[in-house]
Amino acid sequence: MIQWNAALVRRLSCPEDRKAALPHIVRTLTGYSQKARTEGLASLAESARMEEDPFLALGLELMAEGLADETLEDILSAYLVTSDLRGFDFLRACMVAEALVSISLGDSPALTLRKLAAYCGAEQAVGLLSEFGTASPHPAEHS
Amino acid sequence: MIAALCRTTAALEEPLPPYTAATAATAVAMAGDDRDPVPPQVSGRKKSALFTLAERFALAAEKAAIEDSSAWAVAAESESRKSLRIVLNALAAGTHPDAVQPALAQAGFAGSADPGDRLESDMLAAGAVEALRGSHPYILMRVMTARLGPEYYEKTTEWILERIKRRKYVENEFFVPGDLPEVLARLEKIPGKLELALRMAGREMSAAALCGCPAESIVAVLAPCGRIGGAILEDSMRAYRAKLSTEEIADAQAAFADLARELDEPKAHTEPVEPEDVPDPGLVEDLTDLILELDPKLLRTVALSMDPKKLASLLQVMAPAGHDRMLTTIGPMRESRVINALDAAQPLGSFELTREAQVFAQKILAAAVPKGKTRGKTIPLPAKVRRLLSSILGRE
Repeated sequence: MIQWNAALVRRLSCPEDRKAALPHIVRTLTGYSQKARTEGLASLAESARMEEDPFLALGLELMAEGLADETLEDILSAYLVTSDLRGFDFLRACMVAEALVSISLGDSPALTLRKLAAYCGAEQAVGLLSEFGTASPHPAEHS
Repeated sequence: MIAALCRTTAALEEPLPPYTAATAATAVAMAGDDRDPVPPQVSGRKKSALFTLAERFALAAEKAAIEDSSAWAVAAESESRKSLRIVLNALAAGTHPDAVQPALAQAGFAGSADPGDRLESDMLAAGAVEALRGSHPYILMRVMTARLGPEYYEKTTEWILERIKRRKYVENEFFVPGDLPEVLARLEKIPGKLELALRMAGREMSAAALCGCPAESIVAVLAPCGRIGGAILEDSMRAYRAKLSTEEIADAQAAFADLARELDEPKAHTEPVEPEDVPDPGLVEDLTDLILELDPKLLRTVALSMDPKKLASLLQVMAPAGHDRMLTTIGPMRESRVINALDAAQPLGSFELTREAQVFAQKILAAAVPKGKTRGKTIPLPAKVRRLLSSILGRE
């Protein structure tokens, strides 16, 4: 049985004002989910080359290698634990890992969105779900 | 999921409840429950030495994949580092994945006060688990070096690309007649569909089916897999070409083609749409029948290789008769872990349940192929089991 580690939780802690940027991250990641669904995972390799976030770029490349979802999850988790990221950057990296594992599992963009929206807190999550519609998100940006 | 962490950040002093998250849960499990997950201070020199150790491990795995499992023992004999020698000997003996970490602990590596030793033990244990799953050496290398931190990602990519460059194969096309090449050609025209079929079938089944296809079909399949993913699939195909009979390849092709047709012509098999959160009764029936029909040894091997959380998810798509057999098979100690995981789990939607059943079916297929099998022998699976596997894997 997994036991939570307070120190790991502490690493996720970041000021409320920084959390205002989270919906934008959710939109970007949901866009990748949509892209993977319509163009295939191989298309994410091209996106990886243009991605500025090194953790996201690395994850997209790993996905394009066709790793099984369990293996991808294991590798991304190892990178999360060993990275020296803290606060907002660590939270962002966790969201990236969550999204990539979700895409790798074959989740629909709507399900990926639901998994990510919860990071933003109840109020912003509701806003995001309304923005996309709960059934079929069609992000205008990033797709 | 990880979001639960955000909501409970304020309650730092209290231990958080058990939780079914994927990535964060794995991260926490890696960090342990009594250690600070902030990366331990391991020197760059030590990490560099561990990268070299991982290379030796992956090279031994490469040799074991090309030759046979006796290569592990040969590598262990010439290995100077005690920790790696322990792991190589464990692999040579076919040790259960759960027993690798205790072996390292007994030798003073796991649980050591020295962060370098702990990292070494964790890295090798992770590699051993992947090796025992039959993962490709490049994947072993990725999994092991991930423990060294993101700064080793590029170095690992370079190492893998260098190994790909050094591969030397004599092309040996082996054509098994069937309609799979036509099915592949149709899928190739629909963006993402060919790749989706490969992912749904899993690498083992895909490789077994594709190894009997003409070269042009294989080139088309490898194209979307990228350089590293393509090389891994290609290696698996070559391995199957050497050890499967024509009949087995034809069986794999038929199963893959069925699955691919489902993707190609989903409307042709339209059934009444089930509510999203209700498991498909046909799937429950098929999976339960599969559990009841499987050879006890095969079922036990696969069930014991699975995480209790995954087994708990699988139980959600099974009738009580299947539960009984599965829980009896895994034994009382593991049973309680699975029951606990089931208690803590959220009910899954029909899509996730289908995926869980398909992942299980892939594991059965992969475990059913005996190592070092020679041509002319069939995969020891009864026709009914093969039909059930095809039915499960063919669902969208």
